[in-house]
Amino acid sequence: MSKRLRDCSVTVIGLGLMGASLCMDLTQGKLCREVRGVARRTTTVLEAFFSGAVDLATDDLPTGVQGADIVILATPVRTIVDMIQEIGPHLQPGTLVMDMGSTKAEICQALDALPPGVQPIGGHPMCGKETAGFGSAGAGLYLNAPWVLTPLARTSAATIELATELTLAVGARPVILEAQRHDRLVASISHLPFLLASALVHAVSQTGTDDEMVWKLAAGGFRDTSRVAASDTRMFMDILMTNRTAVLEQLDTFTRHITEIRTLLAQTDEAALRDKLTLSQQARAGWKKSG
Amino acid sequence: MIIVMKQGAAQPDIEAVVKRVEELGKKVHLSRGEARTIIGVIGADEHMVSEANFEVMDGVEKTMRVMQPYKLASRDFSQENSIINVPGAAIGGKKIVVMAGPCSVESREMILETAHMVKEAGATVLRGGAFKPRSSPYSFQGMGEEGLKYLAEAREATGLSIITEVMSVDEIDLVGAYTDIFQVGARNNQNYSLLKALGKTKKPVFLKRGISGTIQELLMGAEYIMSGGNMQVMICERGIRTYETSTRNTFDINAIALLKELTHLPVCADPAHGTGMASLVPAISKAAVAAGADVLMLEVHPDPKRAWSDGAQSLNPAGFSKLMTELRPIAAAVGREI
Repeated sequence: MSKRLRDCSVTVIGLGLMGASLCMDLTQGKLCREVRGVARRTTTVLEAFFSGAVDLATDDLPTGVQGADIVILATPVRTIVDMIQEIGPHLQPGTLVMDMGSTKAEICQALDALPPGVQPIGGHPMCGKETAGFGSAGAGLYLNAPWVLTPLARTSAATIELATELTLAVGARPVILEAQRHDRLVASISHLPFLLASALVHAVSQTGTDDEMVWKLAAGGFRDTSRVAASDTRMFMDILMTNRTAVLEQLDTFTRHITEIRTLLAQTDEAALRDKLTLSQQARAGWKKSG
Repeated sequence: MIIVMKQGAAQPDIEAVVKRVEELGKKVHLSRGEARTIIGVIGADEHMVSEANFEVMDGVEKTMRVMQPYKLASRDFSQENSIINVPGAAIGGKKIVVMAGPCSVESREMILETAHMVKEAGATVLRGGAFKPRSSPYSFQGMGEEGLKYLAEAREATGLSIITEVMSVDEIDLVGAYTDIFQVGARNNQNYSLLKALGKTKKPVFLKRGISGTIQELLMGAEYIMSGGNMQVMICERGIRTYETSTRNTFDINAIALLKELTHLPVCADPAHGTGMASLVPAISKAAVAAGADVLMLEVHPDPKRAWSDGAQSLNPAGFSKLMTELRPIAAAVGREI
């Protein structure tokens, strides 16, 4: 018996940027039968309720989850594993449970421990802002964003279909990947850039302690390359700790390239350096065009 | 508890109510009812939260308790445990009442013999089926009115009250002429015509849980009888059907404890049908007593191997006697007598 999104009662646990934005999309677009939001703090519960983003807002997990057809876990990565254990007893068979965590392998392992009959699927919408919290949320956050789905062995075809329907309904682009593969890929294009941005900011700050003028001159170039350093630290700590191996691998790869560039510069090997920099320029231009 | 805000209630008023809920240590849910905001109070002991906390607040229209569908049977209706009196037994009181006897009345001698034996061992009510709901039309269907007469004779001889099953509306008058307590079998838990008719009688009714029935359905069955005017209802856990086939049914010990919480009606246990195995009856009887049962219904037959029905789950007189002795310390341990 396949469910359609429009007949579903959807519960979103965690009303930060990701969770609240999803609620807004679902409610404004009338995409499902009912939207319920669960938040830890009553201030958020009130905010969500008054904003019209949800039909029901609560700080009580069982109340939010009972009878839901779809449960979305939009809390920080390391809380997701605990959340999964907490919601288990309150779910009826056939409920779709999907998380939005930035790493997948560990979470999928936790999802597999849900009671039989529950239908889990890993999820990772690849979008976001550096700012966090309900106040940053808005409809349309997921437009054109890749949304990775990592089905478990036990995930049924109907569940994959429904999860896909939800991602499409909010304008995202679903991509089905195996969990470990996802973790390696995001280590490369998300986690590594974050660490680089962090190191960059440290480097510039260090220079800045010698000469404050550096900040007056900082413009588009610095802004673009340091942007993600302003991301939520707690969120990234969760990511780094749950994706450590893959991230270390990526850091090593990066280190090889920066070391190569440094060597070429130190040796004044203009030809080789120019080739290296031209290659990356072309690759970047190519990505921008296809994106 | 539900707090219904006035139509168009202002945001600060809603916030104030939510804040008050939080101060009381409870959780909250907010939803839009028809044109007004509904605030739910959630948490253990939320029934202890007084309406007075909210009724005077700005913007609050009213508070409502979330009602169970049964009312007369509910503890909200009566905080005190109900006690149903039949000659020789106060059902629901401190002393646990034991109703014992054969599954069916098979002969005059047999029922008289059994009556003396169970009285000796401490039972205060005699059971015996005269009209039997058998799964097969070819099985012994009961002695009918003759069986009722013998039960009455046993009462005469021993002073035990009697309980026997009534299966349909048109048997009520006949069975009612003899019995002290009407028994409603599991298969009739939702026979609403029968329940309504029993609601019009003045005799106590012993209502069994359905074979695959929920606790709520059981209480609604009681509600049917009580809403007809007959408040003397006792309810019985007799095992439920589950996927486990090692025992005839699965005795739902949870039900004993939960029913004591939900209802003021006496809560009964039938470990014989609950297990289908005489060897298990003692242990489950003890469990039921420890869990708070007010009544134990036990099948006792002078010679279970020769019983015409349910022999496998019947105790012999020696076994019944022994069990009664063993139950005394268990009852005492939970502040009861037996």
